[in-house]
Amino acid sequence: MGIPSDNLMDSRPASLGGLVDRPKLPLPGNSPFFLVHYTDVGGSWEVVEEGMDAPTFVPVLQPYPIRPGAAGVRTVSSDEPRSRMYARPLAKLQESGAIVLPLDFHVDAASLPAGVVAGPYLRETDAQGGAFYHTAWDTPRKAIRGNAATVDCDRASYNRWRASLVTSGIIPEPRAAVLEDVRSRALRRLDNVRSATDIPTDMREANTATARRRVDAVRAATLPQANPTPSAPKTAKKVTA
Amino acid sequence: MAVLNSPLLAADAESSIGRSFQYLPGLIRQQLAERFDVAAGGLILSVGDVAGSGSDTIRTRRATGYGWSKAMASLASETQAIAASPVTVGVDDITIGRQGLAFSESFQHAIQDDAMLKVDDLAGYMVDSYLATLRSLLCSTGATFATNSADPAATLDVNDWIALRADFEETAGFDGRAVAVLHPVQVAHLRSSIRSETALQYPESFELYQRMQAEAGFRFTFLGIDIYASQDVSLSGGDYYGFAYQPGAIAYAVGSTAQMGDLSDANPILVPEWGIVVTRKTDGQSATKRVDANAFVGVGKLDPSLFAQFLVRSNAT
Repeated sequence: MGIPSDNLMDSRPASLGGLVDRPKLPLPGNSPFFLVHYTDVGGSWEVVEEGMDAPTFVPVLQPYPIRPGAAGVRTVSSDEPRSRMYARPLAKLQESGAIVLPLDFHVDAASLPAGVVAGPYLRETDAQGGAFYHTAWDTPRKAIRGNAATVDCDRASYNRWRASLVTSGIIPEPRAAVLEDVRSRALRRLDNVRSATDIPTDMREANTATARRRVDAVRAATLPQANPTPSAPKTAKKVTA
Repeated sequence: MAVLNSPLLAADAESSIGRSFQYLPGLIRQQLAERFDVAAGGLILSVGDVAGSGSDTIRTRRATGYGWSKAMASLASETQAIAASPVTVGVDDITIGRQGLAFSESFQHAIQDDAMLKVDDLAGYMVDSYLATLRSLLCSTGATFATNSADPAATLDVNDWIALRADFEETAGFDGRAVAVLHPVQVAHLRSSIRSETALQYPESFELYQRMQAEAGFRFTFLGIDIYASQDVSLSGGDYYGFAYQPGAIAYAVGSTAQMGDLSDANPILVPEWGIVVTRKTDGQSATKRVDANAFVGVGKLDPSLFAQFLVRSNAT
């Protein structure tokens, strides 16, 4: 007879750390981070195509380190909540209008690469130098050459998730001027490439074609539309100024 | 007892009374590590010391709306009153954090060690670890610059650098000196792009932009921007978070360890100007020695209205 399931409170897979030798990433550790979207600044939106049906503007999310001594994060005393470490920079970010995705922001499996379980956007992998933190869309590894860390990013699902943050209202649509800045920079790049008469013609033509494709994509890009992508995180909390 | 038959062979002797290898005495080579000192390079400036202040934060004040930032109004009539102008103010905070590194060893290790790896030897390298920490804190902080200058859809190239130079030049008050800290892979991408610009392929410029740099950190100057490289540059979402700024945009504060009181029982090493205190502890009961380095230092950014600053975010691959 099996064990009655009622007796298995909060059952979860046993952590086998320390019992089983598992290879660790041959890398130094790093710090956990928030994902932050700075609003109304240049470069806070970008045009992506990978994983999307058409060129789409998506918000840029930057890592903000949770590391005492960096960017306003402080060391707390042993009886203070750990969240006090970053309370002040968090408040300052929100005051400036930045949108901070909380650490417990839930990401549905549908918005993640295949095989990655639903949960927070911040993930950690055991490395020889401690925990190596990365987003749920990144797979960290040691570079084939040299001794540096690198990540393989599933850009398609990452792009779709960022689009869903807009359609679900977590991140508001930008001012038209922010999108216009993206377009004007793409045009300026095309002008630069096209006017580079000092390089061989075939190379200039190839560079120009690439820059023109980029301009075309940026011109055609639209803001994410509701429901063309996997559903937005339902348990997500909105944190705005 | 092993018998060595004549002729005596080295191969037989080695396994019975010889040795397979011989260590060079007193020499141990440290593995390759980045030795890029951002303080010496002027990439980070001190804003001071919180010791004795009652706070873990140094707050710097800034203001605008007067002097060069405020031209006089042209008045239409002889008697028109001049409208009084406001002055805009703000603050920037640099907060220290506790950084630490410790080593311990058994008495027996201390007795037997012949590789210069006693904890007392390792204590001498704590300052190097501190400088590595400072660099890492600088890179963590630089990754929080809000305005991105590079095209995030591609790897870094000459056009990004032209755009970055323009962003600096279009910032009113920019004083003409800018530095950038990039990931080495970003530097490689930029160099590849430079390689395809024919105008940059004259022998002198080719050598200037493409040569390998022995000096830790600094790579080369391109379009007037001094380019440094560090593996500490953040990597997230498949992108590197390099950054460029006017020196002064990133600063550090320390908690001086000069007045910590009596630490003579710990036989300390103090580097007050960097907030470092190294203490030692010996425990006869467990036959161990230990050395602990604490450093009280923090790195922060000052407002972009004071120092031009841009993120240089580009594809990792």
